[in-house]
Amino acid sequence: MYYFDYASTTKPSPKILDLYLKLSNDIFFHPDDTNKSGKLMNEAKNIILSSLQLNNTYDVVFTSGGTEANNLAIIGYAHNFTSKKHFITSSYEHSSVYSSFKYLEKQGHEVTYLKINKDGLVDLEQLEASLQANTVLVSIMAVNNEIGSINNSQQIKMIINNYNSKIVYMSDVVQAVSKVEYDYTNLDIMTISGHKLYAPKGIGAVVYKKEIILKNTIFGGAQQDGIRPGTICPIASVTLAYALKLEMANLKQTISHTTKLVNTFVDFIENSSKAHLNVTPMGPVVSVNFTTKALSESLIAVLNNMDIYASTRSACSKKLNVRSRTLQSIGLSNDQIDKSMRFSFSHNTTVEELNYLIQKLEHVLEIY
Amino acid sequence: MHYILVRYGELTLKGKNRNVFERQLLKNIKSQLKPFDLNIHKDRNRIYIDEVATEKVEDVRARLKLIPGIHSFAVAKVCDNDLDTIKKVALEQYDTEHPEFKVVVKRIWKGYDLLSNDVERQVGAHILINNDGLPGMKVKIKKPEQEVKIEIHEDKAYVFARHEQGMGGLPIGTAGRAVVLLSGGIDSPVAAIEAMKRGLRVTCFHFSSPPYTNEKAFEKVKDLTKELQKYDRSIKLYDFHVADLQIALNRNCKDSLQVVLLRRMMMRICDRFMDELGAGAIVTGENLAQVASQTLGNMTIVNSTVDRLILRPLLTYDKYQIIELAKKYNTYDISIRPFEDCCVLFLPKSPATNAKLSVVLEEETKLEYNNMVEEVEYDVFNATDLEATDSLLENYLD
Repeated sequence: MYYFDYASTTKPSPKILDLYLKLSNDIFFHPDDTNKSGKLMNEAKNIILSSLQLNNTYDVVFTSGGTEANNLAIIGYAHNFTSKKHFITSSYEHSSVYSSFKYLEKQGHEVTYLKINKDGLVDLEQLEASLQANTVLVSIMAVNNEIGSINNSQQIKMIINNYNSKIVYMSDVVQAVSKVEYDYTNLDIMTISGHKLYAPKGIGAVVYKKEIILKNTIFGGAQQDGIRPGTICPIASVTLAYALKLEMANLKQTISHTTKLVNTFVDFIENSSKAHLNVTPMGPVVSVNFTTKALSESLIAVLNNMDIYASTRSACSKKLNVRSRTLQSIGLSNDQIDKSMRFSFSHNTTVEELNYLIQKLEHVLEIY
Repeated sequence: MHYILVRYGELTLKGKNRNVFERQLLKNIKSQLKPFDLNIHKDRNRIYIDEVATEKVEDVRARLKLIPGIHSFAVAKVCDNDLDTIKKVALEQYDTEHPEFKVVVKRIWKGYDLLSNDVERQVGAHILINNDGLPGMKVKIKKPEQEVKIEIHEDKAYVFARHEQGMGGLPIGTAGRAVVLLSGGIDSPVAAIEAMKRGLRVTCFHFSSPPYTNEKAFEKVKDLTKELQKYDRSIKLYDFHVADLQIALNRNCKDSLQVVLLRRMMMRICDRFMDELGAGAIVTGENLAQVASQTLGNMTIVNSTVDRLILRPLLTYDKYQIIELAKKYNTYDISIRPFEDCCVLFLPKSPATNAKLSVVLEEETKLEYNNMVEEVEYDVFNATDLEATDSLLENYLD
């Protein structure tokens, strides 16, 4: 298999699977503070914080994944307010963030969706101009899932602080952790997901400043201080933490490796008459569009037959059958959007795999 | 490169013993800063820490703030001794929060081509000009809010920032040793730190009742001890297992006297170990009338158990004062974790607030406590033991 869809999901690493199995055999208690499962979850929290270079002014609440984490972070925070408030987000957020804000609008809150510039970055001037007296939360993703552009947390934090440092800065960092250098200390709330970093699916987390109150968005018992009722799998939470730790420890090597791969691939795209970059890549994600007769859905099917896996767009929005908000936001035409494809690389990607991709892609583009 | 000057406060009051205090302080500073591998030396009135790399300064400062006996200290920047550089660095070091200032220059190297007065005037003018409009900004010769101190050497100059407050008190070790009863609550760790601040070296005694007490309660005590070890790494924690004693008391003696009787047993256990530890006193976190065992009457009965000095640094504090100190000393968050210690086991329904000594002595005849005190089981933990990871996950990683 030739896999170029690491932004979509990753295969759990052998180390993580091994850990999962061993722990599953020994520690099966219902997690609470007094037993081994609870202790494991606390260790997992500490590992997550130290891996993100955060101190003990932050806390962690585990969720079923990135989507639930984003819902809890945004809606859970918004539930603190009974009167109408103003929220700011960007127009190319992951659907779990975007839909949460759509829900808040229905609840009577006001939401500003920031524009995206040609480089794929959030328009910071508009951010500055949009802040208002009743703004309570700004949510801007760290790394875009479809085009890989990286929003600078330092700059965003500064703009928010200059206006009112009480406004909470939340960021979906699912696509940043283990992939690019990022300063997480600027963020008040952030969300991560296990399966994007070689841990199993079904586990995610909200990391947030302790002073921030998150209200539960699902209803049940007092697990995780009542913020997230329901029994979370303590072992999954450990694998998320440990995978994060391993990935962060190797981040420099990962970046150096993926940068070389991306450079080679970009060279190929730029020299191809039928392929164009949607945006200059800033990390291991390359978003391209093809001037082919066929749409990218068909091209993907052909590539799949050659055992190559990439994607047309964010898997989470695929079934909605609407065009990518992200690609629209950077000003692509409908035709370009319909013929776009995303390739994402990791430390697992070998040079041989990349060469195979380039060779096959060249062939496919010639025919279609 | 930075350079730190340490001033010791109260020590200057001590007549002939002064030397002992100074030497102990120097030793304590050296031991606290050991990991940084620094040159630390003293002259008549000051202790100097040389060549602290910029990235270490914050950590060194944090540690200096936890050393009893240091009145204040100042971090100096080391720079070239030409006037322009001195001016620039002095301006950086000038603290705009305390605008009234004067510049004090000392030429250690008399060959410098300007007189101290000239440097003072020029640097002062430079600071004034560059802080034009700062409210309250002025030169004040008598009692200014800050002194910008400059020392000129042949190959360098030191420019000092404002003095930072140290812990005060006396160097740990100059007042001897005491045993501290550490319960896990809010008061006892504060009492321990107050005792250390007065020059006592402490050994922590904790009483637990495994298997009847929650292991989590003991983790609190371990974490509290770790906090105390930030002031003195040599602190040891003794954990005495007193379940058998408690059960015996419970079976044989009056319910209302359980607390007083148990505390008397604790005193006997302390007494048994104090000579070998070289401890001259028992420190407790007791606070007058806070709980049943802390009335004058009950304290008198506890005092009479053994012929030892019992110190109660928090006796007259208000609870909120103790809480404030606990927060300042970083022990509060640990102390309020909701796990109970051995005292809660067999807690009487209504403890006697004013027990009678004759009754207490009568009750004690009902059990053979001497052997139990002699044979009490205990564990000892030093700093390395407490730092050792008790990670569950570690066991599962290769």
